[in-house]
Amino acid sequence: MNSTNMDIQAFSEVKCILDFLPIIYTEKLPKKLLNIIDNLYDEKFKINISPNIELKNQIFTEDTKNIIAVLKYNYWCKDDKEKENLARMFKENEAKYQENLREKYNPDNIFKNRNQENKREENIIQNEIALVEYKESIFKRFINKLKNIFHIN
Amino acid sequence: MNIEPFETVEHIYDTDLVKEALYYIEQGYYDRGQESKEVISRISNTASQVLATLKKQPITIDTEVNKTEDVAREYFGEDFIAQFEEIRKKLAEQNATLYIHGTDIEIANMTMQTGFEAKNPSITSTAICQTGYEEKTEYDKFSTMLNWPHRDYKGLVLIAIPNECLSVQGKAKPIWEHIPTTDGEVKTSFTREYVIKPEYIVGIIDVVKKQIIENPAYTNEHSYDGLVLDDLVSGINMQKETKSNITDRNDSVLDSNEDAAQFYNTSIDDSSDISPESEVDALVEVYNWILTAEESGCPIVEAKGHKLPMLQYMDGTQNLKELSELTNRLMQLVPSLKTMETDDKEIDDFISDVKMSGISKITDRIKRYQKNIEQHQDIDWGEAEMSDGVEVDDWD
Repeated sequence: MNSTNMDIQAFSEVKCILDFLPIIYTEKLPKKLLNIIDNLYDEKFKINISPNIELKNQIFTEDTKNIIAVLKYNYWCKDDKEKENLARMFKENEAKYQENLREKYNPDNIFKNRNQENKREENIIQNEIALVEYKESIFKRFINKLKNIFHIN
Repeated sequence: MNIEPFETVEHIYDTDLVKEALYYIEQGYYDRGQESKEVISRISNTASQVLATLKKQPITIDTEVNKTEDVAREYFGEDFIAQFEEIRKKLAEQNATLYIHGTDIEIANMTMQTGFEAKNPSITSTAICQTGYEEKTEYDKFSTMLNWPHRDYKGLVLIAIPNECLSVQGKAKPIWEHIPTTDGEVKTSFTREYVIKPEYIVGIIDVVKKQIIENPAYTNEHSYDGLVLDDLVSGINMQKETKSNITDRNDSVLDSNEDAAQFYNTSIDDSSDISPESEVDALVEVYNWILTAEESGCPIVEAKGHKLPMLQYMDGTQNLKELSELTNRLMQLVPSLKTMETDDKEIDDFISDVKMSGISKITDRIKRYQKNIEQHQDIDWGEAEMSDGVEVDDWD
C-alpha cells in the first residue's frame, strides 16, 4: 500500500505535535506505532505553526486530529473513566454530525435553511476567531525556551 | 618522600544510567523546554537511581605519606594544635568564619599591619573556607596546612570573615575596602584594588617554624562604613551564588586531587533563589564529570585528605556530595512546579470535535500501514506490542 499525500501530511503533523509535547507523551507510545509514524512522516513537509495559538486553533488536517484522538484514547488516558468519557464524546459527536447531515440533506429543508445556514456559519467562524486565546501554548513555550537558551529577547 | 598504600573507597557509577539520564535531560528538558512537574520529577528520580546504584568498593592506592593527617599533627605539635583550636572556637563564638590564604611568610607578616589585599573583592577566589568549630570540634586539615595546595606556601594568613558579610539571606554587610589608585599608576592584572583591613586578620601561621602568631590588631567589632560587598553577595550574582559555585572557585585554589569536599565549610545558605534550570545545569556538570572519569580511565575514589597520584585517580567526594544535594533540591522543587495538565487540556480541546467515524477510518489506515511495514521491511519490533493499541471494536 502506498502512502498518500494526505497520510504523509497527517503523520508529519502528528510527528510535529509529538515533538512539541513533553517526551513523556512519546514514551507512552508503543515502538511499533512510533515506527509507523517515523516511516510515514516527511521532514520536508511544510507545517505552519503559530506559536501564540493553542493546538486547537492551529491549522491541522482532520486526519491529524483523528490520529491524536486515537493516541489519546489508547495511551494517554489516565484511567478507564477518562477512556469511557472520551468514547462517549466521539459517539455523541458522530450522532450530532449524522443528525446535521440528515437535516442538511432533507429535501424539504434544503432551500428553506440555506440562507439561515449561511448566516449561522458566518457567525460560528467569527466566534471561533474571537475565541483564539493568546496564551502560552505548547509551541510558544518551546520557542520561549529556545529564546532563553540563546538569550534572545 | 615515602610512598605508602592508602586504603580508601572507589565509587563505581552505573555509567549507562548516567548516559541515559543525560539523554533524557537533553531530549525531554533542553530540547522541549519542559519544566513541568513530571519532567523534573523524572530527572530527580533518575538522579536518585544513579545514587542508589552507586557501588562503593575498597581500593588500595599508593599515596605520599607525609600528606596524612597524623604526620601533620605530629609535625605541628600539641601546643600549636591547641592554640589553633582555641582560635576556631573563639571565631565560632564571634559568629565569624575562618578563611586561610597561603603566601610567602614575609607577605603574611605584612598583612597584620597592612591588611589582606586582592585584585578582586572576592574572598572565596583567593582563600579557603575552613570547617567551623561548631561543626567539627577537632580540626582535620593540618595536612593541607602543612602542604598548602597553592605553591606549597609556608605563610598562612588567618582571616576572620563575619558571617553577616557573606550571608545571602537578608542584607549582607560589606567587608572590602577599595584602594584608590594613585596619580600616574597603571593598573595591571597584578594591581591589588581591594583590601580587608588588619582588624579582620586573626593572625598568621609560620609553617616552617610551626608557630601561630596572633595579630594584636584583630577585633570582632567592625564599622562597615565605606566598604564594599564581597562579590559573592553583590549584585545579581548574590541571588545566583550557591555552595557549588563556591566549590568551583575553591577548586582553582586547591589541587584537583585535594580532598576538597571536606575542606569546605561555608556560612552561605543554600536556600537562595533555586530554579530547575540552574539545578539541572549543575546536574549535567556532575554527570559529565562522571563520564569524563570513565573516558579517561581514572577510577573515582575518596581522597580523604591524601594527595592522589596525578592523572591516575579522581577524587569523587565533592561530586558525590553535589549529586546528592542536587537530587534533594530537585525533589524539593517538584511540588511547586506545574503539572502537564495544561498539555492534556490542550490535547482534549484539540480533539473535542472528533467523531467515531473519523477514529474508525484512521485506525484502519494505521493497521494497514502496520501490516505493510511488517511485510515489506525487516524491522525488529522489540518487545512493544500494539495489542492494547488502536482498537475501536470495544467502543461500540
